[in-house]
Amino acid sequence: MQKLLYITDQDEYVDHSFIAPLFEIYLKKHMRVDILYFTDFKSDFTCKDAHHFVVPTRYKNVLLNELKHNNIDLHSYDFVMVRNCIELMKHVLKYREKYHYKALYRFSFPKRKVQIKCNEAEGKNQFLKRCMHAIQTKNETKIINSCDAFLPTSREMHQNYRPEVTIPTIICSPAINPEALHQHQQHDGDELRFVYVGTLDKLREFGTILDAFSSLKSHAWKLYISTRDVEFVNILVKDYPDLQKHIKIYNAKTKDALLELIAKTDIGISLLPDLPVYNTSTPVKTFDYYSSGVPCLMTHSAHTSTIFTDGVDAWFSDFSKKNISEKLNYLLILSKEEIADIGQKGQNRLLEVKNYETIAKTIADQLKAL
Amino acid sequence: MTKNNPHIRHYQILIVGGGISGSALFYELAKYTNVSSLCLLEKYEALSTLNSKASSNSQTIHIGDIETNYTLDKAKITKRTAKMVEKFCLQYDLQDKIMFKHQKMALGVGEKEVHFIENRYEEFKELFPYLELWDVEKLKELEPKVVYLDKAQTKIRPEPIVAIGTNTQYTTVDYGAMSQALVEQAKTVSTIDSDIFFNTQVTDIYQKDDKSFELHCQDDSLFTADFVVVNAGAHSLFLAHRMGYGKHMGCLPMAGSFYMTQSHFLNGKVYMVQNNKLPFAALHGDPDILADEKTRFGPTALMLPKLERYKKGTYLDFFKTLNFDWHIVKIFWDLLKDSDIRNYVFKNFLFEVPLINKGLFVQDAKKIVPSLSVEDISYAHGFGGIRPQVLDKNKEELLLGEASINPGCGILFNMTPSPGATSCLGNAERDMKVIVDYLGLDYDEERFLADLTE
Repeated sequence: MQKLLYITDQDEYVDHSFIAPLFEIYLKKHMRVDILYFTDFKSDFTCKDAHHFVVPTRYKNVLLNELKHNNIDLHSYDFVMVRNCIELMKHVLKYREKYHYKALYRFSFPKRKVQIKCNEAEGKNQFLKRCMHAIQTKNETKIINSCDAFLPTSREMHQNYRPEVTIPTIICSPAINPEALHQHQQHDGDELRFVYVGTLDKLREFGTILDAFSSLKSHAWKLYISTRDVEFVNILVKDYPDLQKHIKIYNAKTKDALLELIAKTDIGISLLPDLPVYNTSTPVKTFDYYSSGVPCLMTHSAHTSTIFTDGVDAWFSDFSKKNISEKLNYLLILSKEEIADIGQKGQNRLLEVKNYETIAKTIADQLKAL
Repeated sequence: MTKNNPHIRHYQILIVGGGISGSALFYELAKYTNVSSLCLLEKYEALSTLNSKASSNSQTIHIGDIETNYTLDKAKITKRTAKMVEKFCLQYDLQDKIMFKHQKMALGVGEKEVHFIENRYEEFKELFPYLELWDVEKLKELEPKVVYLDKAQTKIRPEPIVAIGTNTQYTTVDYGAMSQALVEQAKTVSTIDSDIFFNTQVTDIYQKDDKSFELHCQDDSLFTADFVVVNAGAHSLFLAHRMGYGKHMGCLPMAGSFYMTQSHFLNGKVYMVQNNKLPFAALHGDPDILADEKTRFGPTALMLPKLERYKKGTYLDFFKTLNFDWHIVKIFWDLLKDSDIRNYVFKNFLFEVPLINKGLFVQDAKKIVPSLSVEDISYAHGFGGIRPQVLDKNKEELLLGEASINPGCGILFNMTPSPGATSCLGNAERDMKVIVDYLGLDYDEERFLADLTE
């Protein structure tokens, strides 16, 4: 069996929503997988078990030497994959010939670009940062093209953010975990419960959604928000005093806690402004909602439109106060059974087309063919 | 006295350095082995006048529960050695005399640290079952000064905080007094021929043809021994270099200073989450057992070109021990090119500059106590020691923690910066095993384990 070392730029304690099912369960059916995380706080290398390593960030630039120093057999790997960190990728490429592995670069999300967009949305001048970004992207592309394969989250992410990458590309998209589906819990309340989970910032224009909610005549609804950006939401919600009794803010610490929260609601919200960064993949929150059988109100994108059908297994809306408000009014007159039926159909649809089990097999086959 | 020369004293084992590490080894050898004769040479007029002295360190038992830079594996090891300190003190009824219980905690400030502390608690609670996770409400009760922005305690700090801690454990030791206790008990429990010489500075050690060692002292006295252990802080490396050992190492002496509050301030020890790039403990606040439990904030970290603080000289020794070459330049370059370390070094330099030091230090310490002001603290004159951080020239990196040189020929050299005091009995156990093996002595391991381990 071939062996993969997956080096992620994430912290050891991060809630590995994407890694967990794909790398921990399904890819392991096709190859042996070791996963390496970093820690900003602990001083020494740790083997959590035979397949999980934690390395202090200060060793980032000498990572493979540190692994060797801790008796990790680098010759045993057929593939070494680096997530998002170009400096690490450079380091891994440097030793490719010595240890005879294929070097893979995983591009999960254009974080730097999004940060610039976010800052611009806050009115900050980003001219210099844009220039730097252009130069960095060019340099990074050169390094990625030295790898054996490129693993973006979607084809659109490749085309929009790394169009000049010409090496073999393997799509590594988020999906639904067939072994971790939560039963939807029908609540006793008379109100319709909406839920939004995930990051909230200026770029996501959540105010537009709150504007739509504030225009509703019905009061038979609640909006649950789970985000790490609690402070941002608190400030935002202050501008909507009439909505405050309808909104509950959470900061679910673990994936389980998040799915438990979602399972107690009726409809998930995945409404995002029409920006390329949000159109290049299906938001992870969508998979979280459907994992609990909760249907989703979402915006159109190249991705969502090919998976879901409006009124059958999801609902679509343009990202405008008027459109969202109309859709919310429509949803408020649906019965709980009708809503649950849409959720079930959406879950089935994802199991059919976006399933970690099949995605892992495709990735493994493509890796073996390199 | 040796048979051939009545002016030379001979011992089977000779320890150089009467700090906590040397005293611990003296005790273990005397009590648990059948060593025939034992000697300890101390440069100054008493035991522990340098880094083991209570005013030179934080007086903390670093067991690994709130030391956020420790991995679980490391904590398992330090727990065993730290418990030895506790067991020793309890064995001789030294609790509440030189060993004390204080509340202690590691405080996470901000989303990232809070997330880390919460997860670390889950990971470590099995090893340290007494640990508790304290949220803001609990902290208001236990250590209100870390919660509030103002002295009147009306406004809560805006960033999220959480702590892991305990108030049931022994946390604090006067390591200077413990050195004294170790040596006294060694003399009491053992009938072997043992001596301690003060004001005896070893300047050179030579290995003779018969494999024994000859130690030359500044006062022209001579000692010989079959086995030598050098536990002399930064001077361990200095003496090793003179014998041609440990040339791949250099020593970077880091001085730590403290600031003291005017009165009782914090209820217990408050440590912060540590940056793993820095080889020193993050700023913390400790109730000082020498100063009526006033809170001592620190330590700072300043590179000093000398090996001993508050003592004359040792500048030349520093340059010799640094063992300067291009590898050292490379280590400094690598350290300073990291902005976190660069800023830390620069900031700590400013902490020593009169007039501006206090204001700058308060800015940093506000992470622990947001309402802290310059009026609350004063520079703790005479407090603070030197941590001999070791530079590994082969790996071209600054080593964290302790280092030991064992050439395998009957001599050991130990450099034991923090947490060296906590692990003194554990390190002594390690060295004792080497000695016993080398000299073919008996070692009462059963008794040792019964006395000092859980």
